[in-house]
Amino acid sequence: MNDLERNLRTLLDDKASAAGVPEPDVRLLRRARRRQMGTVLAGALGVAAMLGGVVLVIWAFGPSRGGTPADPLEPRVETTVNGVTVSHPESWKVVDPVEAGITPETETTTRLILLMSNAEEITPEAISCPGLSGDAGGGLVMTIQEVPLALAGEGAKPWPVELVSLIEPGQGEVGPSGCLPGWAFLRASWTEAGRGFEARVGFGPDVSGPERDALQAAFDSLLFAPAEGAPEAVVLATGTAGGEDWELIAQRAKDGMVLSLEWSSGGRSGFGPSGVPASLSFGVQALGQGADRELIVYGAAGSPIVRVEYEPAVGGPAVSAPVIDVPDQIDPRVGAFVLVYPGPVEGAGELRGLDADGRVLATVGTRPPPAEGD
Amino acid sequence: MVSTEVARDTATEGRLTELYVRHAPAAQRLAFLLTGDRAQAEDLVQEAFVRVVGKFGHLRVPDAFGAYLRRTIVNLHTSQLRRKRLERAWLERERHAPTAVTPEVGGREELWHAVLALPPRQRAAVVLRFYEDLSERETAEVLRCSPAAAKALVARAMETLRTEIRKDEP
Repeated sequence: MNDLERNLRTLLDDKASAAGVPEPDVRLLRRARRRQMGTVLAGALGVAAMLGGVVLVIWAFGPSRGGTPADPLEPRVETTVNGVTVSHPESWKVVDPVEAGITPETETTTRLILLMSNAEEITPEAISCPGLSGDAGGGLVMTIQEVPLALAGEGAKPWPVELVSLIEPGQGEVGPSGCLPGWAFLRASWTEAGRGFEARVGFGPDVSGPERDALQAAFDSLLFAPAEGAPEAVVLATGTAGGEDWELIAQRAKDGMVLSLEWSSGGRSGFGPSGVPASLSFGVQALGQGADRELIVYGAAGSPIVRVEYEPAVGGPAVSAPVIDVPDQIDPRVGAFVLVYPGPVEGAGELRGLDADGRVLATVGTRPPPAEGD
Repeated sequence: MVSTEVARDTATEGRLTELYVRHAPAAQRLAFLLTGDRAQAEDLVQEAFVRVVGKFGHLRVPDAFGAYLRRTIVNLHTSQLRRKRLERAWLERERHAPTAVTPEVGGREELWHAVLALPPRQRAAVVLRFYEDLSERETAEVLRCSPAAAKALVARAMETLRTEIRKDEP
C-alpha cells in the first residue's frame, strides 16, 4: 500500500465518522411500506386486469343503467403499454403508437412507446393535427418516448420529475398549420428502472381544470417495468457549445460502440464502430454561428488512455479532458471523450491520448470541422 | 430516536424500523463519502432504503439487505445527474463558506476535495475499495462492470488524485 492509498483510507474513515447517524422517519417508513405494497399490487395487476376485463364485458353488455350521467373522468383504469403503466380516466385511450399506426416501427434509439388521448378515435390525423377536425380546443395528448439511457444531463434525473413548459408563452398559441391552435405543451425527461424516458403533454385551450388535473394525475401515476436487457444506447455527456445544447451518445453495435453527437438545433454527426481498442478514433464538429462558433472534438479511446489533449495547429493553448467510462454492455474495450474548444475552430489540430503516467500513447491529426452551414 | 407513532404501528413497520436502524448508519457513511454532504447522503440513503424495501419480498437472502442497499446507493448516486448538480452546488458553497466540520490539516482538505471532484463512478470505485474494503471483484459487482473495468476506474481515480495533490504542493 503506498502513501496515497494509506492517506486515502485514513481520510475516508475520518470523513465517514462525521457522516452522522440518520434517524428513522415515520414518513420514510410509510413510504417504504407503500413501496412494498406497490410491489405486491404489481404482482396482482395481471389478475386484476383480467377481472376488470370480465367486469367491463358485463358492464358493456349487461342491462342498461339509469340515473345521472357518469363523470367522464371516472372511473380510472390502469393500462400498460411497452412496460409503462398509466392510471387514467377510463374514457381516455392509451395505445401502443406502433400498433395504432401512429408511428412506424423504426430502429432509431428514440421511439414512441405510449400515447394517451381523449380523442374519440385514435388515428394519425386525430393525434398529429386535431385542428383538422375543427374541434381541437378540448383535445389532450400525452406521449412517452423511450430514449437512450442518460448517464449525464437533464435526462439522468430520477423519476419522479415535474412537467415543465415546452414552449415559451405566446409561441404555442397557434400551431404553424392550425393543427394545434392555442395548445399548451409540457415536457419532462427522466431515468427509471434502467430506462430513459421523455414525455410530451399537450392540451387545448378548452380543456377544463379537472381534465388538466386528471392529465397531471395520469402523468404522476406512471410506473415503469425494468429494462429487459442491457441498454442499446446511453447518453455519456451533455453540454453547451456555440449556444447549442449537445449530447454525446454511445450506441451498442455489432462490431463495437458507435458514437454520435446530437445538438439542439437538430443536427447529428457520428462515427463507428470504434475499431482498434488501443487507438484514438474521433470526430470533429463546430457548433454555433459566426464568432460564437465552438469546436467539439469527441471520440473513443482504448483502455490504457485515461486523458486526451487537443491542440490547434495554429494559435491557442491545448485543452484536455478525461476519458469517460463507457458501460461494458455498450463496449467494454473503450472509453469515450469529448472536449469543447472555444476557438479557433476552422483549422486542423492534433489530438493526443495519454496514459495514467502522462505518457503520450497515441497522436493523430484532426481535420477542420465542417464549414458553417454544412 | 424511534417515534412513539412508529412504535405503535404494525409489526411490518416495526420490522422496517429495525432494518433501518441496523443498516442506515453504515449506509449513511457510504453515502456521505459519495456525496460529501450530510443532507444529500440522508436523501440518498432514504431513497435507496425505500427502493430496496420495495423489492424485499423478492430477496432470497434477507442477510443480503445491506449489500443490496449498498449497491442501490452506489447506483443511484452514479446514475443521477441531479446529485452531480447538487454536489457542484455544494462544492461551490464550500469554496465560499467556512466548513462546518473539523478543520483539515495540510493536504487532507485538498485530497478530500479531489475525491469529491472525481467522476461519480471513479469516486464510487475508490470508496468501495478503500473504505468498504471490497475486492476488485466485489467492487465490480456493485458497479455492474467487469473486474478489469473496476480496476481501471480505481487506477484512473488514483491518477487523478495524485495529479491533483501534486498540483497543490508548494
